[in-house]
Amino acid sequence: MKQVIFFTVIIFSALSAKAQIECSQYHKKECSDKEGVFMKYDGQSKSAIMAKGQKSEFHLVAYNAQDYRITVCNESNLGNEVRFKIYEKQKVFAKPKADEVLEEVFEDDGATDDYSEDDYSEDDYDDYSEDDYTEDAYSEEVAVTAVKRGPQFKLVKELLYDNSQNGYNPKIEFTAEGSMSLIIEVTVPGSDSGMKLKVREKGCVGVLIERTASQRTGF
Amino acid sequence: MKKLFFSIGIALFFIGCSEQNNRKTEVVKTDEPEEIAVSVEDKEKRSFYPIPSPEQMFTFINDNGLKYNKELILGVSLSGDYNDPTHKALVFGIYTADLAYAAAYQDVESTIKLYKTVRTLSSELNIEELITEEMMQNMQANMENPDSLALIAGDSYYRAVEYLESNGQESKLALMSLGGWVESVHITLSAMEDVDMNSDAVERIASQKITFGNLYTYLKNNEEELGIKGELEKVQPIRSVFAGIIEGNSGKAIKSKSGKLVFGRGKEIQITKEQYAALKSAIEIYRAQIVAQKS
Repeated sequence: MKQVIFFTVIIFSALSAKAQIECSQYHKKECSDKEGVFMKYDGQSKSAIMAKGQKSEFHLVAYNAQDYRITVCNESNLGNEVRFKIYEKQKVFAKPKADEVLEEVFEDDGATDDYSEDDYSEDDYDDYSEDDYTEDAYSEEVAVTAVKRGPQFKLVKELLYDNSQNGYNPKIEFTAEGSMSLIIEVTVPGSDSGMKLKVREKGCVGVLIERTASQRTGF
Repeated sequence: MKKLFFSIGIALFFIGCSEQNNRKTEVVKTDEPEEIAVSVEDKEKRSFYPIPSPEQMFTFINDNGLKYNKELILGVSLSGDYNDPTHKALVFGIYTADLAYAAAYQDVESTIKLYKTVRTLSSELNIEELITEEMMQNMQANMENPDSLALIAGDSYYRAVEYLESNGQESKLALMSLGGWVESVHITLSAMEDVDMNSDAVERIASQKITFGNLYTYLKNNEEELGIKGELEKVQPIRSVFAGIIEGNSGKAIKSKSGKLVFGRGKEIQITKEQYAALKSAIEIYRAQIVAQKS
């Protein structure tokens, strides 16, 4: 019996690894739009296996004076209402009062939709948080504010686009005016079915990023 | 033993089925249990960080008129001098960036040499599948068509990234990316003569604050492996320079009169002359550390 379980695990591990490798190319095979304006493939494109009800973040750097096209596509079993939002990561300069608890300073201003600071603080990006960043370069500001127990800068994300407001359109084209750090948050619809997932509840999701230099206008 | 062969046979059967056209999952499903024990951890929110692409940087500087300088490439004769896995992965990244540089500027001779070097190193790092014999032949066949060299070089870089990600070798990928990023910034900074602080190229250098930020996070996420912690310490001077660079105001989504969607900022990421010089120095020092650490 132990052997059966052992080999079953091996079989599914092999299948899982195989699926992972196949899925890594999904955005190249399935997301490209041959009818649109020609743009270059951007190496920040990515595919991943996602489950119904799952949310993932794809970080992206958009450079100044570039036009971008982002296409999110998915296997049909995940439905046709895969939602994606585009946020910009930015730092907020905070001046906490002496007696304030730091978290109270960073209240959601409403512009960030359903994002909360607590969610974001769990993100790995906190390892690169601006409070670390400020150690040397922002030391003057640290001295001015004279706050030793918390960071003076905090990373937040501001919502720029939500495809659910646009009929779940899987594609968006935009021009970047200024280089910026973006997050594409992809959510696969569906609810958690409990402690186990069925095979049909998982599938490939691709995020294809294409770019071209923005054409300058005028003489 | 029979059971072993039987089980392997079943595994191969399933894998064979999955290779057929259009991922015929319904065939597989019939023999699978109704539910597969996948942990709910799989459903947790996941974050994916972009791996900097040297090809993107070199295409940009080429388009902006920066001249090619072959001397900036690390000599291919040094490639055999690195034996420990950490430095081999870093140097592999350096050579992949050099390959992208030579290919972007259509230096056919260097591109071919670097391609062979990258292939050898990838084999030593057990990631040889990323450059196949077929790709080598493709490269040789396209010597007459320099434009396609950049495409092939870029493709092999993306294949390397995908291969390492898919095979759980993120630590190797992190080091490769670090080596590649350092080399691409080193080449760009060194290729800039009579630096105009208002130029697009300088602005692109300042924007590397964002790119480095993502890369740093990726390295931190893998810091317990393959000597990455040590490299994180070594890149602190680079990090300090970026810390001092001012970022612009918040981004806004705006629809222009033509209906075009624009994500814009109030101001750009600004780098001063002093910061530029400090960054160049920090990059050169770190690159020299990588190159000097032969073992």
